[in-house]
Amino acid sequence: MKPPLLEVRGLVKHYDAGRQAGGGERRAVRALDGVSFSLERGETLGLVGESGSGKSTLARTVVGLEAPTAGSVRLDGLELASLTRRGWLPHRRRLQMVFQDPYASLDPRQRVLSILAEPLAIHRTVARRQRRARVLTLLEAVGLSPRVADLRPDELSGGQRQRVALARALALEPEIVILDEPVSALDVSVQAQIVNLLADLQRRFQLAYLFVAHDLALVRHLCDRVAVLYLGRIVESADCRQLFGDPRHPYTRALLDAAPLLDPELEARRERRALPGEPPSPLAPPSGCAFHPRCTERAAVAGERCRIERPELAPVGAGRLCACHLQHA
Amino acid sequence: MALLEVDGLRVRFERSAVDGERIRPVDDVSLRLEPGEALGLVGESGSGKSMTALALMGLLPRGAVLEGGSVRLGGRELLALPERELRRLRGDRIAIVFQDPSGALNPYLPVGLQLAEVLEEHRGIARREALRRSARALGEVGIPDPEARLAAYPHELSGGMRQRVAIAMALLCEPEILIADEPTTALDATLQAQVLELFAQARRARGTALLLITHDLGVVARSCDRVSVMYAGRLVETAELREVFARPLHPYTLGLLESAPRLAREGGARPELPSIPGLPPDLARLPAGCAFHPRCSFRIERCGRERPSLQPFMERPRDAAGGVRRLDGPRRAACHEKERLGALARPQVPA
Repeated sequence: MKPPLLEVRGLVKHYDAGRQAGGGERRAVRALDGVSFSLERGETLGLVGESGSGKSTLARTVVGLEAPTAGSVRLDGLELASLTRRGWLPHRRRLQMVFQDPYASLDPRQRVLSILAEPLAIHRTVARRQRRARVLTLLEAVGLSPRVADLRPDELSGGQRQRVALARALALEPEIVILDEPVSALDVSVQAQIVNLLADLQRRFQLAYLFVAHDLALVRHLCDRVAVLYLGRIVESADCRQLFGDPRHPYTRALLDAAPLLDPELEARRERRALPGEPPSPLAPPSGCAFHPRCTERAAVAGERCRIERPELAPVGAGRLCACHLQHA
Repeated sequence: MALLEVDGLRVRFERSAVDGERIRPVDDVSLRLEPGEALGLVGESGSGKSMTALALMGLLPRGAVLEGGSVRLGGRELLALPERELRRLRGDRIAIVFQDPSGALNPYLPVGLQLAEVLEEHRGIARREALRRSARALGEVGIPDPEARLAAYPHELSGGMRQRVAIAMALLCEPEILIADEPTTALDATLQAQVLELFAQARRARGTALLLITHDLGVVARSCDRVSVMYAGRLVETAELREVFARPLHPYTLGLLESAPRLAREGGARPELPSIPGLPPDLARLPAGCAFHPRCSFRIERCGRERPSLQPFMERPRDAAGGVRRLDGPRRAACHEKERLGALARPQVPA
């Protein structure tokens, strides 16, 4: 059987947090604590969760910006997690990343032409004479005029910069693009343009997207499947329609309850159960189910078990997984 | 007489000392706020919404000059008040919460002391009692174990906690008006819901009026009674909440509503979002006529030469007697084609 385009198994990333004041054991921030998922060609997987959930660490680890503590990242069956920096290089072009802040991710001293030609030169995919032509093609693909090639990032708007960042990611014809909050730094009236562009580029180039976002409506709009992260673990994953239509994990339900709807009538009728408390610190995760101290549904059924035993991510119907004792009673 | 009446507010900004470039980030802005009411002031970055809040609090940054207008609180003109008296009003009758609570909190003082000082200064309450009330205020904004938290320094708290401390501080003197400038933008979804609930509680319990400044129409839909939309320093539309969402009268408002992806969308199809073309304008190079016209799909020839002012909306279909029926409520839009927009049947889209 053909392996998935991207297969992540048991990914763990711990950061050393030093010793507690007054000595004692070294402590670890468990940013990722055993994450598994796969991604197919042309597919979009949304990664959803609040701060501390590990979604950005996951994106950075998959793309090789962070070395995992344990676990496996396979691209077409090829193990990437154990590669050295140099070993990564030939594969890097297949996996590209676009960051939230296009103001920080583009070198302000370079013109767009050299920003976009640089990856072509490093990977020697396009002969020097043809680079300018290739850059102009890329600009066209992201809806920018050829004039932009001779400008510097500070002469561009936020939306234009994000288009340049996308063009740079596409320069090496990647199969997977990891998008970390790609529109949340943009003006609201410009966001839809970039969202449409992302959908268009995916169709044209058969891209697989790993889409990290906090805006659930946007995730629903762009994603085929969604994984919900809480404190470094996936608590639920399902196809987009199932997840939004019939969320199973109490945390997923709380996230959906918390998201405002663009309709005052619906908002007024809505039953609101605000989730108490805040996400706990990944330095000291709660026992059992990490969500149990905030969970409003546990007391009724499996309260004690939730405090002691960590629920495994297990199937709850076709193609969907959920880590909750209430689902596996 | 409304609780807060802002009329014709104008702010000029010398953006660059070198070329003397002048912009007007707030241009002829008028607002009304009644006790217990929540007004959403909506706009994107550069629309002038935050500068409007700072101007009416008398907190304009360096380089910004109040050019004109009037701000009356309970009928009393604030813009003419000396700084000393304004300072007494701020935090007392009118308080503000920002997106980043760090600005409101002193990093070198325990939060309990900072809260207590507000009560000492504005209410003349002795330290002990002030600390007791501060603990109660922290409890009211959902901070667990509030007595113990009095001794915490801001950096020892999470971002969500700091924002709640800033809100507790703003509500401490039971102000008549709370101005909240993107108060939940930096917060996670579940914390955002908690903060919006805190505002709703303050309104219910004490009749606090809320001026909520945000770019997020969803936040407005959840927590406001009325909406004013700003674009390039000017108000483009103001109306009751439901009217704005059901039938926006300004093409910019319509564009914002249509271009937002919907959470309650049906089915698996992924239609292209109807996006607003182009970019928000540079305030130093505003287009002639209506500032939105280069991006507007409703524009007519007049839009490029004549700037529309904020006018009441007249229902186009005439009533039985043949007169123009005026809609209830102060519904206004700054658009030459507002009657055409008003006559559009907006397709029912799920939220």
